[in-house]
Amino acid sequence: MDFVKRNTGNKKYTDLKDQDLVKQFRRKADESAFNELMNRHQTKVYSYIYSMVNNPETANDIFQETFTKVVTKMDDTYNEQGKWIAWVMRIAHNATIDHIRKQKRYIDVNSWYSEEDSKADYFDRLQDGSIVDADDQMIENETNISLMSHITKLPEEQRTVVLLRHYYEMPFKEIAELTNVSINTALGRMRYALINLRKHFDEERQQELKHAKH
Amino acid sequence: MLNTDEVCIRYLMREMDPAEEIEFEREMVNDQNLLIEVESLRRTYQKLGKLPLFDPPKSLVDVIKAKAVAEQSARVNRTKILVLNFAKAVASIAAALLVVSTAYYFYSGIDNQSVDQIINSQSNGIISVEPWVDRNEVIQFVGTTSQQSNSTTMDAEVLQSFDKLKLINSKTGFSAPNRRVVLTSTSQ
Repeated sequence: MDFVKRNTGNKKYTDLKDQDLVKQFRRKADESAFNELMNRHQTKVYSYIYSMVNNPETANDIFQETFTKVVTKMDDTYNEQGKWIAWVMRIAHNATIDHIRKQKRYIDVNSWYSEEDSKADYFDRLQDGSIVDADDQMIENETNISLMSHITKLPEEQRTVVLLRHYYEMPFKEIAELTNVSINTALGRMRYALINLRKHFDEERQQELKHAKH
Repeated sequence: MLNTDEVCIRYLMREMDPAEEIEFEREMVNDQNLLIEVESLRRTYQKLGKLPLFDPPKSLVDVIKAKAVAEQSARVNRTKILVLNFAKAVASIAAALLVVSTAYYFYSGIDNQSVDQIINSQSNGIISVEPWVDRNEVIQFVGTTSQQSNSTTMDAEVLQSFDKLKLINSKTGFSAPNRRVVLTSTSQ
């Protein structure tokens, strides 16, 4: 406690570690501490969820559900020794998988993604300021959409490993723990995901070549 | 022999220790197919680097923040109230214990006081003799200590007790064995 006081006394919230911010929020309901935590992680958590479900409304629901659980369970299940974001990601992952499994009963996963329909939402949610030139932006966005469509075609287990690795640079040991499989299985899923993606990229390139010939 | 299925991914993801890395690189030099496979996977993995980041809607984030702070404030307040109630309960118990112990102190103080009064009164020469019988059936007198053993009141008491004795008229007659009450004062 004294440590937190000392830190907050001398440092800004941006300089504090996640663990100290969590302590501040838990003990004093410190709004600034929670804001800082959200600012640090909201984009990655949301990107993971969005990339997994590929539907803005669903992503919003799961994102909200995730943070509701985070706040509710923080006092009971979060161990302050562990990484806060890893714990949040576990909640986000479980909420996402629960949703996908519920949906699987009714809808084919591969049919969720409709490029035309989702373009507007996709552009709305892209991070601002990264692309300056309009033509470059167009090309970049098309590449991203194509990439997202390939990611969406991956089986759920492979997609999970790819996205956890990409957005969080999560070690395979942690990915394995999060997904309740062995490290070798997680590595194997990554390998199959890359092989599948390579296949999709090749198909796409061949189609582009066909169009160019015609 | 390394298992190329997983090891090449560990190599690409830089999850190998340096010794393993060197060994795997040696293996790639000797096995062209492995080298091609690893390079192909690396290129595919590099394309994933272009995966975009998505921002959640600001309105949604604001709602989450407000809700989280409100919930946590309520929880912190509940905890404070619990702690306060617990402190009150502890204080009440402590107060009750204090009252009881004070009352006991005064009550036992009165007893001690009466004893003190007796002692003081004895020291002032006012003797209140309270005879009692010990388990040897010897009469004892409280307060008739050695200090006041010759006091007149005690003598009167002793003399009175002699009045109860009967003289033996017949010198030759059988008399019962010596079963008599021994009158004495305290041994002190």
